[in-house]
Amino acid sequence: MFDESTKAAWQGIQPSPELKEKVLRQQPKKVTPFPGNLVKTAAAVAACLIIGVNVLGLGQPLVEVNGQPVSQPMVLQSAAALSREVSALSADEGITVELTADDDTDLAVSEGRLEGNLWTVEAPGDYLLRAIKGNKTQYFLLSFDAETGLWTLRPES
Amino acid sequence: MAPQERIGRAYDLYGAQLYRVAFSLLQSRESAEDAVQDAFARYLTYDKPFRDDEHEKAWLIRVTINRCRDLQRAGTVRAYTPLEDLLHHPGQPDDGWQEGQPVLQAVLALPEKYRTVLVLHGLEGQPVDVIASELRVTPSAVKMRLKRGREMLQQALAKEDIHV
Repeated sequence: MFDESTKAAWQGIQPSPELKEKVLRQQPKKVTPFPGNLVKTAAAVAACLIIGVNVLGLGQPLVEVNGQPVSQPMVLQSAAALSREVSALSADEGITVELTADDDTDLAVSEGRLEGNLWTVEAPGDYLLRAIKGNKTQYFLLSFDAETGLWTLRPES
Repeated sequence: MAPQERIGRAYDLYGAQLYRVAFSLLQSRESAEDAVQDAFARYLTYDKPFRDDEHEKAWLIRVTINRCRDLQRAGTVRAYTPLEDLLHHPGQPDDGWQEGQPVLQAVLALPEKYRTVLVLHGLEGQPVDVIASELRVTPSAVKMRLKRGREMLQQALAKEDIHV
């Protein structure tokens, strides 16, 4: 693609010698563990919240991806690691998510295409999925995290 | 291996390459160094084993690219550095940098998504599947960007009557 003189010129771009010194001067950051009691308390509170959410969530529209109910933030496969259930579009960073819902649950999306149970968005961003079952509505947020490069689907309260 | 020894080895192996990748994104000497320094800070606290050197390099490139994007998003990229300031080393013989400069200049003027894959593949010799992993896109997306990037580069260079 590039001739040797171009590659040689490119390889000539070098950091300053000081950069290595700066890098070597870095120290690993120390991680201070939480006090044991705080961890126990937090675990108990989290357990109560999970039980509460599950109880309150009965009868809510249920949506599944990859055979797993989306009851908490679910990291979807990255575009670089395709699966049968979640596959990236050939056009850049969009994603197609295969959704599964009860027959009596209606799905609608804020953007993108919903064809059958396949939801396709064309570019990174935040998108809403609405699931309606009877008189109950549940929203889910599909979002792309540029830092991690991962798509996440999470229920919105 | 002691942390300092580990980071010194990694820097010797990948430091210059990470710097060039960061420079291609930020086009600022100082910010490119900031990004590389931050990537090695992450490396120092990353405690999972790498499969091999290629995996380690790909991880570092990905972290460096992410850090560059952070700097861009935060609007904290420092002063622009002209390419020739990095290519020309006063007191050293001209090793062909003047010949390669117009092409590199044209590469750096491309939109970022095309520039990045041309740099990683064409100038740094990274395989398509590794680039896909580093950029979190599909291999077919990388190939599409390479194809489009080459076309755009050729169009830009044709105006200057240069051919690659």
